[in-house]
Amino acid sequence: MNKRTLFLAVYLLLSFVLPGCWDYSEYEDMAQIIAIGMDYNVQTEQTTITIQYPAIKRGTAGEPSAPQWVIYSATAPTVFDALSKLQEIVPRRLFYGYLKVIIISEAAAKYTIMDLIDLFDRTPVMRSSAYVVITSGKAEDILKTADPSRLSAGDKIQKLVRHSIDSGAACAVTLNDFVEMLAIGGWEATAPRVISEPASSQQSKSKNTEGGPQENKNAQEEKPGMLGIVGMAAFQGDKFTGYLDEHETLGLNFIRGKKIRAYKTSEPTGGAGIEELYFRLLETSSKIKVQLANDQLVISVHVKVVADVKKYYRNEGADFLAPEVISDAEKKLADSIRSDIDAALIKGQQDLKSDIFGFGFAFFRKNPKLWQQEYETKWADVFPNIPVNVNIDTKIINTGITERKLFVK
Amino acid sequence: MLENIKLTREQVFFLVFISALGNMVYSHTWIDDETDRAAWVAALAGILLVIPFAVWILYLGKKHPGGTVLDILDAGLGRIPCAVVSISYIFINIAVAVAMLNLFTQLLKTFFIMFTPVWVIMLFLVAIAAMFVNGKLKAFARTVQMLTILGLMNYFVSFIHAFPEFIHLEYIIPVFDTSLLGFMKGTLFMAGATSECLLLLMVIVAFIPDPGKHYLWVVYSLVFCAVIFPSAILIIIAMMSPELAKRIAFGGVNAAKLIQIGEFLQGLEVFIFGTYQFLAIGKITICLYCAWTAAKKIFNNWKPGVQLILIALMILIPSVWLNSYNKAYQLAVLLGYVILPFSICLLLLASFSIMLKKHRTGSSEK
Amino acid sequence: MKKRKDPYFDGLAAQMTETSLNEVKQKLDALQQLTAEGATIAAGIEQIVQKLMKPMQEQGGVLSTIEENFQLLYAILGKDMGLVTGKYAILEGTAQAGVIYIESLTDQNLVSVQVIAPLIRGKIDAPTDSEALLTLIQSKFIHVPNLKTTSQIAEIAKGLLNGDTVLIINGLSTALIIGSRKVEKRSIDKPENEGTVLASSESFTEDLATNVGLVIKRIPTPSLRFEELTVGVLSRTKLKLLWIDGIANAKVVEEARRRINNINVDHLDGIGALAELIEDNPLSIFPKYRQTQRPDVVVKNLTEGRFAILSDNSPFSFFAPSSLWDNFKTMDDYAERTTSASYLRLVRYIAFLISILVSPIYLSFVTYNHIIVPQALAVNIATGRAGVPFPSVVELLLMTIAITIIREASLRIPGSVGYFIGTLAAVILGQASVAAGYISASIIIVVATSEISSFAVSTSTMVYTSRLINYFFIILAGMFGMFGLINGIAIIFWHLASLESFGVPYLYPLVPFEMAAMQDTFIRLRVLKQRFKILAPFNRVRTGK
Repeated sequence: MNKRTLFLAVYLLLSFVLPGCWDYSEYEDMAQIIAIGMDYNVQTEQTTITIQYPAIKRGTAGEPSAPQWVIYSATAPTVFDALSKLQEIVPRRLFYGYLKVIIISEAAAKYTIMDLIDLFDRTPVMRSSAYVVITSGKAEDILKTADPSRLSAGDKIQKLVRHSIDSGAACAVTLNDFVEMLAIGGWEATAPRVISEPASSQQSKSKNTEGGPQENKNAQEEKPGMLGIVGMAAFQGDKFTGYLDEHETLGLNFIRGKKIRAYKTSEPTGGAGIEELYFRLLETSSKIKVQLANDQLVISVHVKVVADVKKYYRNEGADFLAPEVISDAEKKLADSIRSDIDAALIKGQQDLKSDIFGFGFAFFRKNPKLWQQEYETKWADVFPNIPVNVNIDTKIINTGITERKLFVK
Repeated sequence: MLENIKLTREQVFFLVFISALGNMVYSHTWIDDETDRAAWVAALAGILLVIPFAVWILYLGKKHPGGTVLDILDAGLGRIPCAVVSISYIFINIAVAVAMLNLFTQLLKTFFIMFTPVWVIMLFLVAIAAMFVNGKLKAFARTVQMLTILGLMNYFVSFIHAFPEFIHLEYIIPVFDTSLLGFMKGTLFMAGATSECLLLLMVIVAFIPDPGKHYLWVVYSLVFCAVIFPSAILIIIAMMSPELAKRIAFGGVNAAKLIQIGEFLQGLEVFIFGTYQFLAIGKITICLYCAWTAAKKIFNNWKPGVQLILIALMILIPSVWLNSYNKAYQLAVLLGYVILPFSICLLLLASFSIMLKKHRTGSSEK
Repeated sequence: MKKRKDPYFDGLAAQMTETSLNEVKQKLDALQQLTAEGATIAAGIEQIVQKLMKPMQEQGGVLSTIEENFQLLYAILGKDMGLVTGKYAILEGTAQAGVIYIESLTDQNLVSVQVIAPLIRGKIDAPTDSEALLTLIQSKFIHVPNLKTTSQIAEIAKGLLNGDTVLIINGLSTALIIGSRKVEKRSIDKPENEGTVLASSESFTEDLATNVGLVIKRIPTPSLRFEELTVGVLSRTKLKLLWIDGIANAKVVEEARRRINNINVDHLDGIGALAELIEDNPLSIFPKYRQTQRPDVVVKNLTEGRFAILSDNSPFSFFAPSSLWDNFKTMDDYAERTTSASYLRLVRYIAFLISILVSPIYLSFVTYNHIIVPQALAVNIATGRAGVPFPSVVELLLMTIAITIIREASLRIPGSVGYFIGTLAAVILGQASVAAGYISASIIIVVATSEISSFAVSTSTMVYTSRLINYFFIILAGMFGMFGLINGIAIIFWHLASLESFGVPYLYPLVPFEMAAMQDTFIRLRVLKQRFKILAPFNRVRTGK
């Protein structure tokens, strides 16, 4: 027993004496970065990294003040250099653990995105649950867009991405999802696209920096504006190839079976007085089946949608919403969905020529050997010409809280 | 010379379980390239493959009750061959401990405490291990029981939160997408990695009451391991696709990083690494204990306290010198290929020496 | 006189004359003789005193006359102890009797009515010889059954100090010691620190006889065994070791007996001191026995196969072997319904875990493992901490110590002032420090949660245990974050696993796993049908006999 206490005592003594608390860091010393933007200048081959974090200020007794958002950016030949340059101007220690959003500009997505992705994948602190969004402008400008409700740009984009299932205009892609899509064969990566609208005409501020050598790093001011998540960006391998608009993105989401709760209208059939039905999608799912019939691939996509009717025709259509009326409405919904899917397929197969739908992956799951031996290498050539059959199964489960049309008397 | 205690069923169960897991939790990605999606099946088959050898050890224990396998060698072959084998046994145990210590320390340093010097962390862990070994084996066995149960509960409760959002069935469904050869290679490697438990069993068999009758304890333990570990691999593959799962360095901790619970918790790796820490402490203590028992036998119980400190230092100093995750990973992989043949040789020698002993006593009876 | 080479002395000697030196020498010799004689006289006196004080084997008998005995007893016990003596002519003058007792310990009424009165009034037919006289007196004239005879002065002195009355018959060398003890004692009260809602509210008092009565009335079977032991040279505390024969593990009881007999102490304060002396591992922070003031708790544990010790002058009883989980059980559990009781017990465990884990986890999340904290909370904490001069570790330790000081202080502050001071301290430390910017608000919340949940455990000893473990974890977490905390947890587990209480492993139903016993550990299922295996190995079935 004596030896045991001796050991314990020595242990405790060592524990007291040895450490200098190397990793000890307090919250107020950290810059809790919530958003990172990456820009790439093709001519100068310089990468600009912009960060945004809240400034910690002690509120008056009892009242927490709304945090102020601070934006800094730095330019350097590589991503990592830019990050270290940032530490030169930011007075707190950069901490990436609360990262919510990674904004990548189109130019960077075309050329240097893999630098960032590998860095973030390898460092555990940089959360892989951060959302990846692509922008066609500059990521710096996105981050500088201020919202009148004092939400930072990073916060706003995160919330917008989260709510994109309600509009169907995009689907959330975290960094981990993005890396998975990159690594898995037969499935190209996509990411939501963010746009910004300045509030009123604003000239871009000329950077008036004092001190010559500091032109690569500066603090930024926020400008009021509006941000939106509209559409997706598609990649071929690790290079950005093009955008999908809202229509095509809906189609992509249907094919991928993502859960969307979008509003859909039936196709307008032209002519005055003919109206549309409004539907609200409740559940969506899909199955991708691959059939190989004597060396000819045929892909069939089965989409299953459950919706309810939110608005019925005003002037025409039946009075009482009987089951035949409902199946008619279902057909209209299926047509509408089909047009989305067709648009997506055209864009994906013909324009972008990139398999963003994951057909290759489905093929791999069906027949791993064949995929690995033959098709993997030539998939980029085969893919654009594969015939795709689309079956849509819609179901309307109720028509809201009323059963008959509203007659205005 | 050895303490006179009898281990209970749960204690044997959990001791074997922890020593089987050991380095395998980090080095199982070595064969992921060969086995792809079938990695978990390879793990299952590999662990089950070790069962006959474990039962073999217990059978030897039945023939020579109250003694370790090294005692058997001593009785059969004489001191010098036994000393030679014991020394290589000690070195293998030290190598396993060094690999484990390094792998876990690098896990800590990469994820959590980046700037703390390596020797501080290693000293802490080795000091704990030495303290545990110095106490009674009974206390340590009970501690292992509790820590293992806690660690497993911790692990699986955390991973329950991965359902259903983060589990993608399409990552695991086409299970056999590799060639048979790749699968066999994977199975053999996993069997080799699991055979670290044989090293422990060679020493523990002295304390198992009635080893011949109770071989089922060890069998159940290995079957349990074969259920738990492959399901962990399965969950990891389901969470990140097998292509990504191949690349991960730290097993479950990487996967736990992905789990989010609403907006509240953004990644559960802080809790999962506790399980890995318990595993590391358990494994290092076990290796230290095995090496110490073997050393006590060779040097005939001369100042066991000093021997303990020496062996602890022999684990600590090479670890600090090695100080690299990738090198430790290579070492763990190498051990995975070496330990099984070594154990088989040792067991063959032991069986041979039992036959010799029977021969000798048989002939002297005539 | 020896020749010395001392220059000073030689100088002095040179000044004195021969004759005066001789005088001095003579006087010195005379002085030496006197001191030698004095030493022998002192030695002689010493011997006599020793003889008087020894439990006299040869000379320790009762002396022949009453007066001599009285003088001897006065000498032994001291004149001012309150000895009351009386001499009577009893049995119509056939004998002389002397009665002596200590006033403050004796029931004087009993002495006068039951002892002296019948002796004075009684008569015997024929004068008998001495031994028969004593037997006659014992059987016919003393109306108190609690009697012993003795002829040793040491016994008499012990009896007197115990409150007994001593009856000495002139001429007999045997005296009667008559039990007549009556001391002031507290009446049976509610237990102060172990309150319950539905269980009985009796508690032990400082009188051993009363306590024994409380136990016997709950287990009125002959297999309840008592053994009386005396501990302490000065205090001569009477202990009673209790167990139920046939249920308790005889080895455990034997071990307890052996340990108590090995105690060598001068004064036993109470059960707590006894516990420390016979405990397995006194330095450990976990208590391996239980002290309780409630007889129903003692009785319940006796029926489970444990042994208990009751002591004089202590309202607490001690029972062992105990396991960690016994500290979380209260009598309310058995009085409430199963589901509610299980829920409450689980809540106690969770409270204990919270009290030891919440501070270190907070500390490691705020200083080392920042990633786990949700971002909104992170901003809050950071804002709260802005401007605070102390690092988080120091803050946390300071506040924990401060709240412990408040608790200690409020125990000692007298009644009405106590509440006021407690509130004031909380307000000062809480509100004002946060407002002034010395402490961040989250620390106060964490420390208060930790302290309050530590009281939710059912024994107060565990409160201090949880505080100590809390400090240990805070220090480890402050140095290494979660890594240190988990190491600390492993060490505590190991320490628990190596503890044993009188041969029973400390974590008993959990670690040497026994399924049947688990029904009463973390939860309480229906009334147990079987006793725990280790505690009662030979008599496991509770019902049906």
